Amino acid sequence: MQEPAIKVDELTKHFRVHQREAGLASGVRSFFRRKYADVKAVDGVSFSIQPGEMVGFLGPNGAGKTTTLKCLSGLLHPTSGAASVLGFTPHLRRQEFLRSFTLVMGQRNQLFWDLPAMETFLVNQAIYRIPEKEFRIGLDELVALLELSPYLDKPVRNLSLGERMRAELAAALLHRPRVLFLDEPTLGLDVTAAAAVRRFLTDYNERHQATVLLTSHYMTDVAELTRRVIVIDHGRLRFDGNLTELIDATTPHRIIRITMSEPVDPARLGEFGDVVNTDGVTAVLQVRRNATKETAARMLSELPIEDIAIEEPEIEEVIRRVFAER
Amino acid sequence: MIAVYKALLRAHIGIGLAYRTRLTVWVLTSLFPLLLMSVWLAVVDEVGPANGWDRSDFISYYAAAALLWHTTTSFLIWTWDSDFRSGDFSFKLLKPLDPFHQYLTQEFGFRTIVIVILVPLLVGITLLVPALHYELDLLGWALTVFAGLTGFLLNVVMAMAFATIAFWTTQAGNIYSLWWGMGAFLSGWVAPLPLMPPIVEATGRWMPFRSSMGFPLELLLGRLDGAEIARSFAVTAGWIGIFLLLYRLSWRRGIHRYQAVGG
Repeated sequence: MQEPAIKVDELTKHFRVHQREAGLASGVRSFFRRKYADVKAVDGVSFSIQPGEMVGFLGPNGAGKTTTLKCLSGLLHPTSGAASVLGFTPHLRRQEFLRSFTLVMGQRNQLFWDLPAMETFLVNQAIYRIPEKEFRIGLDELVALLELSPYLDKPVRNLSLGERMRAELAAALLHRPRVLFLDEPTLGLDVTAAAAVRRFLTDYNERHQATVLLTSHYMTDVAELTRRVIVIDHGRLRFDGNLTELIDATTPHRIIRITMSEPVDPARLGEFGDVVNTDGVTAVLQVRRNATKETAARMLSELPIEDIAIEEPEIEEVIRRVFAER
Repeated sequence: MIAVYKALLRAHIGIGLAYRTRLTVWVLTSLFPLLLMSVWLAVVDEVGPANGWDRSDFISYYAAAALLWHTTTSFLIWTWDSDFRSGDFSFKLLKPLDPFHQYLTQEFGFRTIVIVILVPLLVGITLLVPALHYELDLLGWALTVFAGLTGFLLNVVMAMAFATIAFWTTQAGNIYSLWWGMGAFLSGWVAPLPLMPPIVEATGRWMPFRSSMGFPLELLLGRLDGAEIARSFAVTAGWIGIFLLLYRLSWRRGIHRYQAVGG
């Protein structure tokens, strides 16, 4: 068994947060008498990730995903528990550790805002001490994969969100990090740009066997990029396992979508499963997962089926169910 | 490290040159010391030389103060404060380079632009305005430049030490303003220190503020003897050491408290 690339053991991070209600009176009161609350952003989370694995890190807003990533990046000191990334303790911020990973935050920007992205690349080359030959090879590869060449000489402030995100990824990956923490890397991107980023990440993972921990609210990202998911909520681990296991565990049904050659009474369709909707000719039914095959076979023999498709429920639905159960 | 400084300096000079209006307005703030100069000239016109300082001395003092104001004053704490609250500080922490170097090069970059613009301007004015005179030998000029440089370094290190207060208070700029405001009277900025009451002058000579203003200016005007020059450099070096130590100690304790807000 390989040593895990990332190991988190009972990681806890609490914040003391100043609290005040809206309004002038509250503002004045708060000036003289501060109220604080302890927020358990991460509360005893444990997991480990093997080298080369791509793992989805899911949870609703405020679940503790970004705080965990910040602990793993060494930005935050854990309140208790331990974290290890490539054998390093992140918050000690050893130089070798800082050279071996990257953190990309979709809503933030590390590029020099008023300068072309190329300037940031050159500064990163110097800071990460990337030899010239290696830098040129790496840059050419990133520019080609991310289709960056038209934007290299434009000030970052003049780039579109998608163009900026691609430049951001290039800046973050020039030093060939072995671990990638990606916090909403496709946030706000259109479908084409998001697909390009996903393609690139898959490719990077295959080429460099990088370990990736990814948070995203876009389930397409999770489904396309990862097999394993870790789900947290209110700072606590809710699930850690295969994406299909998560679906099996939380949604005991599948969707059967049918098109028929003639209208069929909804009551008749109800004999096969729960009718989600129907216009008589087409229908969507929910059936028990372990009875899917048998039900589909019965439908084919007893109904005037022209077309039939068996689908998994939407991952958004799966995640909603996980959190609804808490 | 030279390559890192070179790359960061190039980038920060580029940022400084990105907005022409901002740069022009910034350079125009050099005129502020000239307002103080006009007050002193009015005094001299009315009551004669003040404590041995005549019109020419004040013109020479404040013309050079205009350049020093831009080259030695550190605005680092405001950048730090803004970075701290916006979350940009986290990106500096993620790099395998102490944020100290990142902020220092940023300050150096902007100063380089100002030097390139203001020094030729000041040399031109010196040649055209007879009242301006800096009768120094080569060593005197070298010592003045060195004093300006060490004064700048002291201001940066001092600002960095104060900036770490943000680990506890999220914002440190206002505390620094209070300190710096007090310093304006002790630095030679409001008035040359030799013209201040003796207690203020004596205090000022041991405080860190004079190192970046009064000391290089008095040196430039040829008003300091060898012993005073050596003592002033020692005071500057001592304060650099003290603030560097405070910065390191405060950093070590404060970094545990960093909350990485803003994304």
